[in-house]
Amino acid sequence: MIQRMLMRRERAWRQTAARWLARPAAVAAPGLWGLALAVAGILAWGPSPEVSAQDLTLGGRLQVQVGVPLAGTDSQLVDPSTELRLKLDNAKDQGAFHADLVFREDGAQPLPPSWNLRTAYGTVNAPSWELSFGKQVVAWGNTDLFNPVNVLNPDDLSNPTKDPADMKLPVLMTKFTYYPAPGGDTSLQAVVVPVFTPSLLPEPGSYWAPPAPEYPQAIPVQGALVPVSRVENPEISLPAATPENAAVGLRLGTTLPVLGGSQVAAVYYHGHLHTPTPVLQVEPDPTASQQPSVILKPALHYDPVNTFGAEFSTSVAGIGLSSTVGYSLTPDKDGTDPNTANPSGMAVVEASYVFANGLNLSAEVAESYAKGDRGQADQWTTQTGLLLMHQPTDRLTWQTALLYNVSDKGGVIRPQVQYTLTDGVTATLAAFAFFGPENSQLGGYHDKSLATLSLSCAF
Amino acid sequence: MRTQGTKVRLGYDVGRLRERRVRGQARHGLGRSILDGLAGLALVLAVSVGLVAAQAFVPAAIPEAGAGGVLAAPTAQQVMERVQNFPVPKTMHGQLSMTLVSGGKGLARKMEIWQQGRDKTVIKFLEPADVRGTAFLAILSEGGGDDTMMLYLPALKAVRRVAGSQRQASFMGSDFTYDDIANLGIRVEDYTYQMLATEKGASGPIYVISATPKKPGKYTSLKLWVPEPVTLPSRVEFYQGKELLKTLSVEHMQDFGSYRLPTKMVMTDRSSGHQTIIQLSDLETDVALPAYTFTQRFLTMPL
Repeated sequence: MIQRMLMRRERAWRQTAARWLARPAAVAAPGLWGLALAVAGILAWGPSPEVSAQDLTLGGRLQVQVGVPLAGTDSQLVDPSTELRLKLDNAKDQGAFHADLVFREDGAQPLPPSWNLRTAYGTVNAPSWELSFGKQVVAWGNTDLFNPVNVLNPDDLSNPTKDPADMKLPVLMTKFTYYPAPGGDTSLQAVVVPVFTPSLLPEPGSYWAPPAPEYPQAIPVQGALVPVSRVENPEISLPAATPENAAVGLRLGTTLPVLGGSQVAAVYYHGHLHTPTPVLQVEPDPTASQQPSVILKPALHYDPVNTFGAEFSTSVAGIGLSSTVGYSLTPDKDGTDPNTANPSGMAVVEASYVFANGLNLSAEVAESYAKGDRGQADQWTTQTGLLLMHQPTDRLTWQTALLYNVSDKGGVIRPQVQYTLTDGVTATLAAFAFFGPENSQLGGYHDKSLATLSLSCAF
Repeated sequence: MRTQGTKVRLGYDVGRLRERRVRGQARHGLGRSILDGLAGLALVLAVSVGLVAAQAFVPAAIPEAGAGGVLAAPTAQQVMERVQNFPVPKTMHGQLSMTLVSGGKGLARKMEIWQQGRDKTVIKFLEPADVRGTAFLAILSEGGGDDTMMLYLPALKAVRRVAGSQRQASFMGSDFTYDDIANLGIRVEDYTYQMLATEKGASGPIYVISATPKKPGKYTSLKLWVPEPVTLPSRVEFYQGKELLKTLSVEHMQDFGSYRLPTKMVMTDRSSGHQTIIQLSDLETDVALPAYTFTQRFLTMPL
């Protein structure tokens, strides 16, 4: 029963976890080591006397956004944010350096404004290999919405209205890619992530934070209900930064001469899940003097995982087809340990087509599987995604995205209109309308539906 | 890997490239084929066009003399073959500016382009800043089979395939499609030609030719103006049925050494009046390019 309760309240637990997890990722990560890395990179690839000043490129983007609730009677502005992103690129013949320094004031997160060295990495090129080191994002898989093999970087789950391009959190990693034929598309890539970083969850008290967890007032013990005397603060267990906990990824990709040229890849990842597994421990309360009572000790830990996956993309009859599949094995292969995540898998198929009038249609279907605990049925979940996009003029783009979970009947629809005021300056009006049962994954956010207006200036 | 100031950065043999650098003087190259011409498509084309093209100073094939010593007028097929037969630089590298004009207001894009022969093209966006790093790769397959088009989206760190129908979509908001840009779909053997008329031009006749694709596509026919001496079409009209969709015109051509290349082309959408102006600069031909230039790897490499 406790386990079932935990499953129902997993999302709430994440809120508690966020109190501990959000700060290390958002505040500590951009600390001194990152700055040192950036400086080292700049120095390493710094302009030499004979190098044109154009080798060093500075740019950035300033974006402001506000939101207006679509549900309820609260008419105040919500989810305001200001973000200034400064980009530095230094490219040479045999290497390059890139860094992103981000200042963000996010009204949806009860955190002070902060500077974050989002990325800082250098790349060295040779005809048959490429080495990249630093804080970066490495994306695997060729489906955009659902992607079971894009697991090297943790996710930023703090705000679903964020730019999808920012949904992956850069982490320190080393990437080595070998090209057997420099003029070909066959590559073997190895990635090492030495230090584990969890996914970023909504800060407690933020607009997107889930409801506070509700703990039972009593626990059944040997047929009798034993009252809960107290609930301790969650214990967060991050994998230690040791060599054996380093994540390793391998990817072999190539192009096959079938269906007019199809891209295929096989991937393997050994590391830890980036989202926590909740555990609720029950212990007798030693301070109880007369009536027996128990203490609840919630804990969150990150289970080891081995993920095997494959990618495929081609085109048939003018339709672009992409597929990504992945299966993750955990230490609890048989589902006998309720405190360990069970094996799971996902298969995704994406099809895209552009009509004669320029309307772009993309659709994804994802079938997920999670092994059930002992005595419980396996879980199968079907999710779909649909994207319609059209650019009637060179300045105006509209799109409508729909995400719908067939299994729990919850979803979100997001219409968006973007207008380019001038080169690099765009205004975007969007809405996020959540729907579905309260206990569905997305329907639970129905009271969070909002419209957003953002202004972005790239320079 | 880019050209900066007087320096060409191509990953290796920089000194050699410097020597080959062409800065507004002679040495051109464009030229590719009819394709270019034709279709013009392409930015080609322009670049390409240019690119492809041809040794401008090499006179096109002289029409055979007919009975009585009178030169017989060439057929449409012969004209187009002459367009296609212009020599093509082995490689080309240059800067490309693309201006989108609507209602008197314009949006500017700056790009860098690499081409190999008539089959491989890479374009990387330099400006505006919000699309910087976006890169496009097109590879024509040998024998007219399936072609490859890839688009690199730097924000997502992802390379995505441009599928069949997507090739007919607008290329970054311009009046060119991805097919146009890649100069695909304009193979001579993919069309049947008909001579519609011969107009009188400043330096000789101008052949007006209708080209009908053998396979259905976005355009049901093209109408080309090819002036003598034959290099490439000076104007192309794109039809869907009887409706004129777009017009491509070569506004300026320039001699670069043994090549004559278009340096300014304008594509006009006839229904909206929207225009895309393409200008080519800093062109260098037959430069040494790394073997990985026309691969996904190069798409993802920083500018």
